[in-house]
Amino acid sequence: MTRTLWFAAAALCAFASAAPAQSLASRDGRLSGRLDSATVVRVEAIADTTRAAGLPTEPLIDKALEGASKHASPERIVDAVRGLARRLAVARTALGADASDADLLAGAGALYEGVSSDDLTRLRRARRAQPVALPLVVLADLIERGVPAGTATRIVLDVARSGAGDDTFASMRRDVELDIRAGAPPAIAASTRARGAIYSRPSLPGAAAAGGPTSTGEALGPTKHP
Amino acid sequence: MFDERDDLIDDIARELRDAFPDDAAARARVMAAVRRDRARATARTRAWTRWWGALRAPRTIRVSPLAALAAAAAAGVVVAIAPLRRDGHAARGEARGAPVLAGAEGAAPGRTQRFVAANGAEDGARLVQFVLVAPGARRVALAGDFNGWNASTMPLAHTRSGVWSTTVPLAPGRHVYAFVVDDSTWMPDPTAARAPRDDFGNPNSVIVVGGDT
Amino acid sequence: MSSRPDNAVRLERLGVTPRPDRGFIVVDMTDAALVQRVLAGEADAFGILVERHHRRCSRYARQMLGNREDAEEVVQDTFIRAFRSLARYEDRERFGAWILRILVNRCRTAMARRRRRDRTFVYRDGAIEVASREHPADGVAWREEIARALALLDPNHREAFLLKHVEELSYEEMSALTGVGVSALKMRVKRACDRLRELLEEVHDVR
Repeated sequence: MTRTLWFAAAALCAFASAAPAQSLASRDGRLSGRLDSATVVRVEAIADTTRAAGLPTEPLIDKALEGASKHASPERIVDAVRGLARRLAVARTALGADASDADLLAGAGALYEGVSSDDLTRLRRARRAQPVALPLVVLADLIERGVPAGTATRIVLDVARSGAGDDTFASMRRDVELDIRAGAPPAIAASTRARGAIYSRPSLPGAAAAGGPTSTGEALGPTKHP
Repeated sequence: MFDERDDLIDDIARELRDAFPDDAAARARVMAAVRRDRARATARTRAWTRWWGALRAPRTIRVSPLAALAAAAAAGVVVAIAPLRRDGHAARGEARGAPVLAGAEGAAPGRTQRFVAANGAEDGARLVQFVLVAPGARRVALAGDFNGWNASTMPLAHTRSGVWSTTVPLAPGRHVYAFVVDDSTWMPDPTAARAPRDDFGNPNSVIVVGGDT
Repeated sequence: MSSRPDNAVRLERLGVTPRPDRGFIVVDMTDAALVQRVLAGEADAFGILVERHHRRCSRYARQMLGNREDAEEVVQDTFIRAFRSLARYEDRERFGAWILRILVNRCRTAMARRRRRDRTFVYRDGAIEVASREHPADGVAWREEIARALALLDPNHREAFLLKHVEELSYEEMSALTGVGVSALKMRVKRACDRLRELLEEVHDVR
């Protein structure tokens, strides 16, 4: 009760701490400092619409900053931000209202690689309550490395349906990468390692030891400090 | 034709009126600024305080249930936003954290390696080591969504024979990044997962930091 | 910890009654009554005025200045100035109109300051074509088109358009607020509408 009252006081009288607010302002300040004002207007207009839809806007600001750092043209920056906003919205529809920002971003990434929104929904179901960010990162990575999108999607869905955790996905990605570097055709490497991932569950703690690239805390057991 | 034109202006006006979201955090900042200003003014002049006190008088206030509902809804927004802002704050706090140097033992040539310290940082952040083996490089830096893609904030230290390394606290979640070699060449982390095709012509890497302990 | 009872007292003074089921209920006070409370020493009552008028103020500032950072600065400045000069506020004028007048002036000052600082605000006209081929059916793109078209207007025309069509003031109210004559304001609004049609008609038609 006292607590509620406190909240009410804070809310009503707008006494909330200025600290988080300040960091938001400084972030926008960085945008102004690194893009011309015309581009800032356009990026912020996209961010406003995205915010109104209840989607995260930080990734859009980050995308614009990335473009600025890489000296991209304003048109290219705005196109990139607009495209990301659109993919985030599609990812939200596909992954559901509870999706975390990391899930949405990974979903947007997979969409960029040509994965369908229906497949995102399928993966969401296959993972039940677990986050989908890492499987989606692995999916996008496989496609980037030359595994056809359809094959990569099927593989990731199969591994997810087997109940594999993030550690299994991380080590599978790592193994596929090494196989491809050693000369294996990408699709063959991915299919083979997926079979291994499904049949070798539950994975040993050392499975992701070889510098698992996507370092979930759990995935990197052996190198994690005790 | 005239109607159509009016429709257009109406459409624009409606969009401008409606699409603008309420921003409880900005409101809080306004109030904080007013209070700071008032505190400064109070400190500057005692006359202000006298004026303030002279006008103090108790009054009777009427209460309406309708206004009550509206205000309850408005306040609810602020309360609901509180944890989100905390997260946002955490993420940025970590990104600003000073890089912690760690040894690169075990890093093979052409490989990167990273580990996560168990209790490295506050608010669920993990310490993540980034290593790049680049014997020919004069400078290597890390740029990603965790530092606003500003390479100057996260230089890698040259540890030995071409091994560059830095350890940074990262908030749980998915992060995209790349190395910047000699201030001009962008390159992905050779052993990390590739981020989806880059919008700006340089490939990035992606890392997912676990959210639980 | 010890400040909790103070908050309860403060809320009670404002007519905010805590309720175990819904948290609390709030006062029904006119803006003028709230101003009186502030002048009587209840600075917290100003928070309710901010609550009521902030959205409109930030909307106007943002659309006038086109930039979140400048808009936020101007809105903060506006409320600070309003608080400082609250004693001069007279009941016969609506608080909303009064604060809008301060805001419009602060925006003009900010525009002038920015013109000195940064001359790149105006868009290249050609950029419109580039964006309009991008999914015009998309709400994001439409919103962006509007923001860009607004930025292309002459500041005086933009000001008149926003006050008339977005803030929905009458020409008489606008005249009182800006100090500009009604016929001049009508001309500015007309020019703004013409220019917006020119910039947005094509995009609008494909939606």
